[in-house]
Amino acid sequence: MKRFIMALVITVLVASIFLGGCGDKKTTGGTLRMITPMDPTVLGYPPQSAGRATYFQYCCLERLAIYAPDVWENQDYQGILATSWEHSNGMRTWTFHLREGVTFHDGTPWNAEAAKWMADLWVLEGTSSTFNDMISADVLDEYTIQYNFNDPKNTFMVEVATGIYFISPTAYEAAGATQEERKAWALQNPVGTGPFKLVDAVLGDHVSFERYDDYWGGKPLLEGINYIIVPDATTSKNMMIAGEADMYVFSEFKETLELEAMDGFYARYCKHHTPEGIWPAALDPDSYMYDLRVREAIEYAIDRETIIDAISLGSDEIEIMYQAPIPSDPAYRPDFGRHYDLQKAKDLMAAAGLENGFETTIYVRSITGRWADMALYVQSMLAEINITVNIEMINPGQYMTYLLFGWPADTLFISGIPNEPIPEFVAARDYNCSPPQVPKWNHSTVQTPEMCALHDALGLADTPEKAEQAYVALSNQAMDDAVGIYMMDWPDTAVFADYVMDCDWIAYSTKVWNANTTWMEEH
Amino acid sequence: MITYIVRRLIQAVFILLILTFIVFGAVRLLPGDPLLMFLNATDIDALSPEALDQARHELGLDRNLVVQYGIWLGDIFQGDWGKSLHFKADVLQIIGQRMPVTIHLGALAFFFSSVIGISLGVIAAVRRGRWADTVATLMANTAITIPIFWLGIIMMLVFSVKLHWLPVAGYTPMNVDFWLSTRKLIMPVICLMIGSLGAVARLTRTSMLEVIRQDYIRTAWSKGLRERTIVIKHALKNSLIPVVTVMGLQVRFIFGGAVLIEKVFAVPGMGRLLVEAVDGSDYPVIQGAVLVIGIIVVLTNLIVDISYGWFDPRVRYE
Repeated sequence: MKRFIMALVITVLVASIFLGGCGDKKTTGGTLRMITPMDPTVLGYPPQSAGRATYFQYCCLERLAIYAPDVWENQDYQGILATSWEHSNGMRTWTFHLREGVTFHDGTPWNAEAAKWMADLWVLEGTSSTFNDMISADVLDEYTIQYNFNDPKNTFMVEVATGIYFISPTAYEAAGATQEERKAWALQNPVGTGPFKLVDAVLGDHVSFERYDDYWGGKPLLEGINYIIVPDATTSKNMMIAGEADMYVFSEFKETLELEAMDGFYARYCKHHTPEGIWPAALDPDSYMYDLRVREAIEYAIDRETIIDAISLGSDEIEIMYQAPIPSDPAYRPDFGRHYDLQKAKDLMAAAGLENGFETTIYVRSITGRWADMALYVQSMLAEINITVNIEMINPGQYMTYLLFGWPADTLFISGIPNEPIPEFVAARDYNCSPPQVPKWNHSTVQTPEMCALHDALGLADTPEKAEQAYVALSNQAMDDAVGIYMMDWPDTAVFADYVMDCDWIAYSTKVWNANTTWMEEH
Repeated sequence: MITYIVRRLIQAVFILLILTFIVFGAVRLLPGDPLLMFLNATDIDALSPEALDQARHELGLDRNLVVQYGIWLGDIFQGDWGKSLHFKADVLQIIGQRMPVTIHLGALAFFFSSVIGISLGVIAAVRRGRWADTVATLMANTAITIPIFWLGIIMMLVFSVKLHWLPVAGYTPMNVDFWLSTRKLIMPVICLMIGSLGAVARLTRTSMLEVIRQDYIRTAWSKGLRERTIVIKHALKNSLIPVVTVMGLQVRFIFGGAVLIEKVFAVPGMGRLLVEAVDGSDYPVIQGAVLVIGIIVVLTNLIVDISYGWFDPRVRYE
């Protein structure tokens, strides 16, 4: 009996060790099939990468650093092609110590010369205000590069972490006899240092990558990645259900909720990236909306809770916003917010001498259905304070033109506000007091002298502490000035089959994907 | 005959010139600056009025409309169809990738809608008043009225999601994998052909009913010819003139339907390209795509007109 019990115990122990070991083992191989609604515009020429182009690059091109998982709390970065960095000379000089032993997909080495070459290409292209302000990029040694700027660059790390990718100088220079030829080739042929390298791209259909075995971070676990371009959300959902795709990124909100409710899928909601709001055109001192009381009245007359309750499809993933900073932000004011108060709105209109209201227009981008719904609610709510609102649908081209060059005075404009975890960067963009005709984000919002002075102070801040101080003051001033009506924190969404593991796609940022860590359980 | 074809080709050139000029002007009337369409927040800082003016100048967007049109037309004849504002690639290259896909899809839809539609129409006419006529007419009417978007989604749910018989969406060229290519195209082709099939079937039935009442058909019957010979050789050929006219028009509808079907089934063809280009005010792509589709439609109509002579030798080309 004793022997039997002993044998049983040993068997159980061995089995548990064996099974436990199995559970930790990551399966290698397989091609991750990822649905995305959008085509890439540019694959391999960083100075012209914009918007939707960049996320195709996450697995093949790399940056000096990316946002760290705790970036929203601590504004932290993690090194990728650089292992450390420091700034000096009042944030005018930035020095990066580069990772050793990294090679591009064409086998050539990554070093400070390659980094300098890329900076020079940015200068040549002229598409970065940061690099346009660069005095020089100096190679201090094989693995140290120093960027020198005319003005303090207190948000340089945001650009490093979001837009400055590196490609192989050798591959680029060999691609053609002229700059035009080389550029045309590079636009569609990314040769970077990332864990995956391009196999082929067919516009409107797919973009395929295969594993780069010499990746500095170790051999990636997946064999390949196949982005499948599917513009229709219902089709995308059906492909997920039919098992024809493993991931669906930039998923439509409705389809995300539906898939999440089914067995075999999990969804992720990346918050804080696209707050959405309504922006009064109040730049013109002769306009009604230049008067702070009118802007406040409009905000008090809008019942955010009713609107968001109606358009969130019953999901609690949509958060109501009353100010731009999120609670972990140094500029966040816990007690601040113009909550729905119709009487107060009427009083403010009366105080402004506008108790009889006025007529205005709200501009809505036609392709965003929830904004049209929002506009309808706003129309009926503002009628309560005698403001007659006409709703005008505009196409995406008109939307961007209005956004950057202004919309008509005394009108309202609905927009999403791309956010970054580094609030100084966002404030510098959103509350920029540029002269007329110079494009800027939310061009027609009010510019008070106080706000403009604080914006200048933020631009000149030459230490992180001064930058934070200036940012908090600017942000608070913008709240007091009722520059815009923040409505809701609309998350970016993605759906995953439950066998997709360790995939940090939009886990904390829409600008980060460490594709080399993703793997798939056998399914 | 040759004179007629040459004259029609010259007419076709004028039609295309008018079409392209209208499209050229219309897309520029769309509000919004196409240069700003594809920017994101981090790009804004880099923008300056000078840089935008420079980009606008390089793309010729700062010139007079007629001058722009003249330059575009001149470039077209030299093989330079411009660069897509969105994809930053040659328009001709993009169209070269997308056109074969739509032709593949459209040719299959055209072929099956014609063959099945004519067959249904003939059966309905020959068996007029019997159950075959009832079934064929019912099928034709259903085919005409069914919304293709709805049909696409329902087929997708049944044949792909539930039964796993067919892939949900996508496109594979025939030379890469013939079987997969065929399976992927079954649902899009059915959706694309269904409306045409109904129209062709109904018209064939009506036209056949007129023809089989003619004296020469009665004579053929009285001569004791076989039914198949009478129907196919004597009646069908003569009843096809109006049907062929409609079939020619169906080419336009196939391109129109491709706009919807290619989106639903994620087929990377011309229809989807055109919609994306319009959404993004991608002028060079819109102009190039409309020109190519215009050429195809005009040539199809020419072929239809020429075919009248084969169907009815009494037709003279003057």
